[in-house]
Amino acid sequence: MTAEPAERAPALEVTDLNVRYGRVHAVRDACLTVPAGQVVALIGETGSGKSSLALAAARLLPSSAAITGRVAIAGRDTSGLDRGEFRRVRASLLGCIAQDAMAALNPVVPVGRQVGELFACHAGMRRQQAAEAAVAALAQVKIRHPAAVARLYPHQLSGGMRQRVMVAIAVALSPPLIVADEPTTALDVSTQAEILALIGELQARMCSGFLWITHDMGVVAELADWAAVMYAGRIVEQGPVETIFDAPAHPYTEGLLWTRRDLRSGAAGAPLFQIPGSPPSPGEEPPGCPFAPRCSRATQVCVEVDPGLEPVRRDGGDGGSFGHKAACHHPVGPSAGAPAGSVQGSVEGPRP
Amino acid sequence: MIGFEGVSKQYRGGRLALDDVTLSLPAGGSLGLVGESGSGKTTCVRLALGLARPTSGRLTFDGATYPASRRGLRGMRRRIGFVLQDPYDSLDPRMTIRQIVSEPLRIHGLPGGSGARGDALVAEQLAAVGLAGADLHSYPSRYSGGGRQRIAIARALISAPSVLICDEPTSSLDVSVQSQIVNLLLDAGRQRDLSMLFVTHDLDLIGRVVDTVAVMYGGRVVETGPAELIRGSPRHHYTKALHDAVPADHPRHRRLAATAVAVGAGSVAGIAGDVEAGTTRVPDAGTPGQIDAEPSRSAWPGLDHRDSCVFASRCPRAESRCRQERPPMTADDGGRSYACFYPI
Amino acid sequence: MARGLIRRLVFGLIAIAGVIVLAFLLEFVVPGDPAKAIAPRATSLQVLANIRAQLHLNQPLIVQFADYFGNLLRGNLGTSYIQHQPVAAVIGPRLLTTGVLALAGVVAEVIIGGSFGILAALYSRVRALIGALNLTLLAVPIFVLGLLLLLLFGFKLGIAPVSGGAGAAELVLPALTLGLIGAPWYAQIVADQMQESLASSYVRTAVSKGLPDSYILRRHVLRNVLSPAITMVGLDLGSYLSGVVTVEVVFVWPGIGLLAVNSLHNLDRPIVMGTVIVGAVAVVFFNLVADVLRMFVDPRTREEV
Repeated sequence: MTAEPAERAPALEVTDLNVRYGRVHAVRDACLTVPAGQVVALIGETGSGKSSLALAAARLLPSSAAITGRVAIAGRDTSGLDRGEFRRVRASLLGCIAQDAMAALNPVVPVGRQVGELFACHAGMRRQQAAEAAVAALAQVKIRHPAAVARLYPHQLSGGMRQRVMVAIAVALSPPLIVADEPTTALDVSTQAEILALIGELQARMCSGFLWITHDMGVVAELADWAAVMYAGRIVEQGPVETIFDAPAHPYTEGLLWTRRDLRSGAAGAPLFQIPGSPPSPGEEPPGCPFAPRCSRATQVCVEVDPGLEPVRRDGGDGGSFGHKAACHHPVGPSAGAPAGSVQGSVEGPRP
Repeated sequence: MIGFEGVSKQYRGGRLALDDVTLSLPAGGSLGLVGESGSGKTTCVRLALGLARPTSGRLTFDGATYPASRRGLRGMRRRIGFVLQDPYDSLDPRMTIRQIVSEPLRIHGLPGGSGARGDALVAEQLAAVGLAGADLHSYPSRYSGGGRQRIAIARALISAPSVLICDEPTSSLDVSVQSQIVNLLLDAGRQRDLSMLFVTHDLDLIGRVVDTVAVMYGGRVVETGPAELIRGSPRHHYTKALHDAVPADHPRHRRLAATAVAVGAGSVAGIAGDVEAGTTRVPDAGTPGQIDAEPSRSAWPGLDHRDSCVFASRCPRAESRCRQERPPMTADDGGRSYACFYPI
Repeated sequence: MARGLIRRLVFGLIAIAGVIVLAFLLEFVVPGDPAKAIAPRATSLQVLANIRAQLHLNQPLIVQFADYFGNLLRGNLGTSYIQHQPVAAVIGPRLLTTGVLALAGVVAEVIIGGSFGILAALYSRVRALIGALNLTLLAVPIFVLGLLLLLLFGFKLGIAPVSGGAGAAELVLPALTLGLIGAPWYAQIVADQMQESLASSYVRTAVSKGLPDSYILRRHVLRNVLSPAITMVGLDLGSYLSGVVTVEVVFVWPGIGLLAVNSLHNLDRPIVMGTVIVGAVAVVFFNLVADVLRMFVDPRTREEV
């Protein structure tokens, strides 16, 4: 995106992250990097662990969650900091955009104040100054009449505007990392388009790194420089976004892409491409690859041995695209057509 | 099968949810309703299910006007099956799936509500939706979102209805499960020769599922026609904008998040009035953040725009005529109609 | 917003009217002859008959009621049978006395209950203990608690006055009793609301902004607790002002509750009616005040009406 990202420390570096809620192993040995100023999309469905990973990095999980591993934001190791220390540096390092803006904003406080308190607490501004800074922040996210809007309460704004307020809060202090938890999932498609445009513009200006959680491959295509796919708590594929779209290596990624492709350009009346089965529930821990039950390429080794994340080797012999990794015993080749997973007749057994 | 003739629905408090809507679901055919929040599509579903009554206009079912009495409605409801959006809300968590699926039978006094024969019937239905061998005495909490929707579909089909109404049945589901459920609905529709009313916000999805599509905005129908035409060559500016708002299918083709500097018309064509500098479609002053003007404030399109095109304030092509006159639905050959003075 | 308030006011007035009618009718169910109550030592039937005639007791019910209501609207609550004074003059000072107690009681229960609630919400270790305490306080009958406190502090320890009266020293124990009895309700509401707030998405947002804990508690959590608490305070003040009878009896606090009980025994109808009306008005009034306050605190309720 912008110049010399290699000179700056990565916006986020997660190493061997594990998150457990009681006996549920929500995130397994996850390693992820968000290069400075770039957008990494974290893709997954329910139970994939994507939210847990991001919230663990942001230290927003309840204290009952057991987290191990190393997290570094903008080069600074935050896993060693205690709660108080982290709180002090938090606002200058990290901004968060939540999914449901209505729930994430305090219903009895005007939105201007909810933006302003950031400035008051961290930039040491007094009330009047902070209020003005808040109005400016709202204008920055393209809210018209920001002074009037600042006096309104969250329930008086539309969904899109609330989301813009969340964005304003996240980018207010220009932090090097912004964690966005499916911010457009609950929005209408036209509102989503506006928010995406807004993010694109802000990102170009601010050079913040984004960890963008989503399940929508279209949003990934629009925003991301890198993509990481999660399934059952593990990162099963990651790489530059064009590589992922052109030549996915993991059958799950391939399935997701094909689902979307088929939806958009398939023949009317023909059955939709579908991935058979359903994602595993968080408590299940099969010994082998978690995707094996749904995978048309699965063999005995897949059922027994959990594949680790390995660089994808392609026919070019050079180890594949830079950073392209997949966790699969039988990765998909680069020139695959429609995957064999397009099974008719949807079958699902009830979970025991 | 189901007909809306000039139907309007105004809620107490003045909110006009539907404004002179005319739709038709032919017997054995399928109709899709596409729109975003506030478009009125949910209200249409409520009216079709008899959960609300129109303020004006006429609703018909199989040729006859919707009955006014509860008794009459019940008879009609036996012939309508429905699947709603939230799989976690639509099943009573305290009923076993056997009770849930057979409930329509009990309500309509059909055989099989209880007893061994009923068990067999329920098991058959569950097998048809891909839950063969499921424990009849299990509770919904055991099932995932996709599983619950299957249960809901089994319930919808058990009374052998003639019409199936689906209101965003896959929007709350995981992506990898959505197509399974859609395929299930399509199969069911075909096998039982059902008329299907499918409501969604996803323009791509609807093109794969139904024959005819009606696009709704602000309580009005702005365009109808065969699905491929609506998707491929829309004539109403809102339909086109909706189309353009859908994210790209490959990073190479990305448009939405491109910065305003890099790409001239980078944002969604026409809609993003306040995002993009240079657009000439300035909204009414005094409406905070006009694109996102909260519908509950005075900007309800229906009421404010009775004598104008409902989309005029956001339309890139709007002229003064659009703001002063309400465009009628014009039909063209090809089976399409649209409400626009200056269609694409 | 104004429309809603006016609507509530109207309904309140209708409620008061209903109470008046009901109380009036109930009077006639209570056995006993007011004439005998007024002149207990009169032996002559003629005297009693004269009294009855004077009080219009022989008129049909409707007429008596119309009479009464008419007087009421003119601000005349009638004259006490026993004390031979205008009812308003009798009730007035007693109302004030009860008012002091009611206020003190509410303050006590808010402080005690609120503290319990906050502690329970913030510190999981004491939650069970506070829960047990709440249950105990709920289970104890109010007069038992009052008597126990009186016994302990009044008789055994001798630090509280035992002979009734309306001074500051006499206020402590009855207010404390009210406070302890009412505390569990506030504790529960405060604890529930706080726990809900603490677990909410917007508190997580506040945490993600790096705001200090004390600020978050003050600005974000406690504000959301206020709304239900205010409703309860309104209800409590209203009902206490109609007479905390048990407490007043136990501690011989010369308030309106004690007056009402005594007047019932003496068949002093005008006083009884007067206390009932005052009680109804107090309840309606404080509910309305609570509604208004709530609208200031929680902007979402402004639109509802």
